[in-house]
Amino acid sequence: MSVVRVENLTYKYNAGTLNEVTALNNISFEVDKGQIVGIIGKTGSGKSTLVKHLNGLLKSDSGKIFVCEENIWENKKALNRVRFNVGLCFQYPEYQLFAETVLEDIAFGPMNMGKNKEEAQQLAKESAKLLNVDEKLWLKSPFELSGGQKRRVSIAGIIAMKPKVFVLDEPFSSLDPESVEELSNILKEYVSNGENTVIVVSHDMTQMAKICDKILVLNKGEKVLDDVPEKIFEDVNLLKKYGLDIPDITELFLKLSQKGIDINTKVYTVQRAKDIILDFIKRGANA
Amino acid sequence: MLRDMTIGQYLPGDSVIHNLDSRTKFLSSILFITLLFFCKNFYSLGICFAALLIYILLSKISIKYIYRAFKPVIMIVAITAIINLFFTNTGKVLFSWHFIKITDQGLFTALFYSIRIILIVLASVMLTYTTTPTMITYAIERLFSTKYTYKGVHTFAMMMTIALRFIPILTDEFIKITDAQKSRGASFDTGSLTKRIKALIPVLIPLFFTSFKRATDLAFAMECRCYKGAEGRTRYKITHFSKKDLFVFVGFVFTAILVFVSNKFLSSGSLSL
Repeated sequence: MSVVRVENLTYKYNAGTLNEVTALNNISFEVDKGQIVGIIGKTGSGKSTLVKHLNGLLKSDSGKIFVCEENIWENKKALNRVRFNVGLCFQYPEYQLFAETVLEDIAFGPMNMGKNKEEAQQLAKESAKLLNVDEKLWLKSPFELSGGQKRRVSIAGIIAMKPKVFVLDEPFSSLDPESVEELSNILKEYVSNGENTVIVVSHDMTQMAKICDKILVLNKGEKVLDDVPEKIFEDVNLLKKYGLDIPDITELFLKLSQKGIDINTKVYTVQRAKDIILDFIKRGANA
Repeated sequence: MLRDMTIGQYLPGDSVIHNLDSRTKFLSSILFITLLFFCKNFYSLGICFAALLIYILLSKISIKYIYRAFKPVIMIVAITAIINLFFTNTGKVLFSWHFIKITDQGLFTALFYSIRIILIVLASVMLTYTTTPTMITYAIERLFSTKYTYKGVHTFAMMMTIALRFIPILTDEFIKITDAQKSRGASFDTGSLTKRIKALIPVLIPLFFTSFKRATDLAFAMECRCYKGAEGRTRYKITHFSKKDLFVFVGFVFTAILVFVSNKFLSSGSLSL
């Protein structure tokens, strides 16, 4: 069942003036419940504009967006409810931190939802635990934390609202490799109950190949591909044409094959690479 | 709303006016505005208007932008006009109803002041439309620098340049943070006034925080490139006065002479300021 459905979405910046730019052109797609869906595309392809539509920060000129089978613009007063259902985490979310303590900041969303203080604190604590925010930091000022910790706290601030759809814009940028892996795992865990859904925009193809069930490719405001990662990363030249990369591991296997090694190049995750290499060695031993 | 601010905006172009020395544009705007205060009747005001019109036409700036600059001051003009219209008691009575009395002198003053305010706004807007903020501060720096004042003037000009440069950055930042907090369910357009002001706290604190951070980063970046203030600093672009600039000043002197002549020899009857 689809939890988010976008129909013929078109959006223009500076509509009606000389500087009119079509940021999104007739985009339609569906996101199924319990999935992780990736959105990729080079800078200026409309990814960020698209995610701002999902929780009603931007209103399109034409097209409809349904969240849980409900048109988000049908009832303007209910827009805040949409924002609690669709948690949007911006690029560099650490710039949204403001409260006196880490916990208070995480509880800001739940408080806005109308929860009382205890409930909000409870949700904040759960969320902080999920994001591995050290308990020693809970009562510190968010401004004293390191960059990686700030990122965790700010993501926790969105997760504390328990959004049905969790949208993240470039969550991996300027994180160390260990934190990137950790965040990937947290996202997987978040959808593991089958109720939640994650939509993630990123340039990190390795992570995208690893965690996504489906990937959308945007180019110049249009949706050009919409498929499972295995299919998306199959056509390397097409992706390069759209200004995109392929996962590092795929790059490696393509290079091996170019060197004349007879190996399957449809490799998108390290796990699969391991299987193929083991298989390759076995074949070599048998031959 | 924040995005369609016209005051202080620069409109890139390649006209005669755009290519004038920024000192010329800065000086002539100030002189022109001063001259407006010397105008005593509609004839002299008309001469100033004609001069400004030629200037605008030469700059090739579309009428749409001229109108846009004028929009925010409509209220000020209207209030000035109304006050002058109703509170001037001298002169011939044209219309009276109960306590309201409109005199020809009042009408004259109202019209006169309105036109003058519009001309002042247009003249200053023409400066920013055709000159980048950097070039305006450059003009100020060059004009006011002397052997004794150059350090202070340079510091001031640098502060102004940085402040102007930061306006669009902070506007962007403000919009971003507002969006982020909206996504966490903050609402800025509902509730009582105090509630709305309180709602701004989650935006203003991060905004201040990032501004300080940016300021520190910028200071480091400047020091890394050996910035030490005015001392020993040379310029990449140095502008020189040319014939075009001379024309502007000649044009100004000509306008000024006409204004003084019309002040003296043409009068608007018994009406005066």
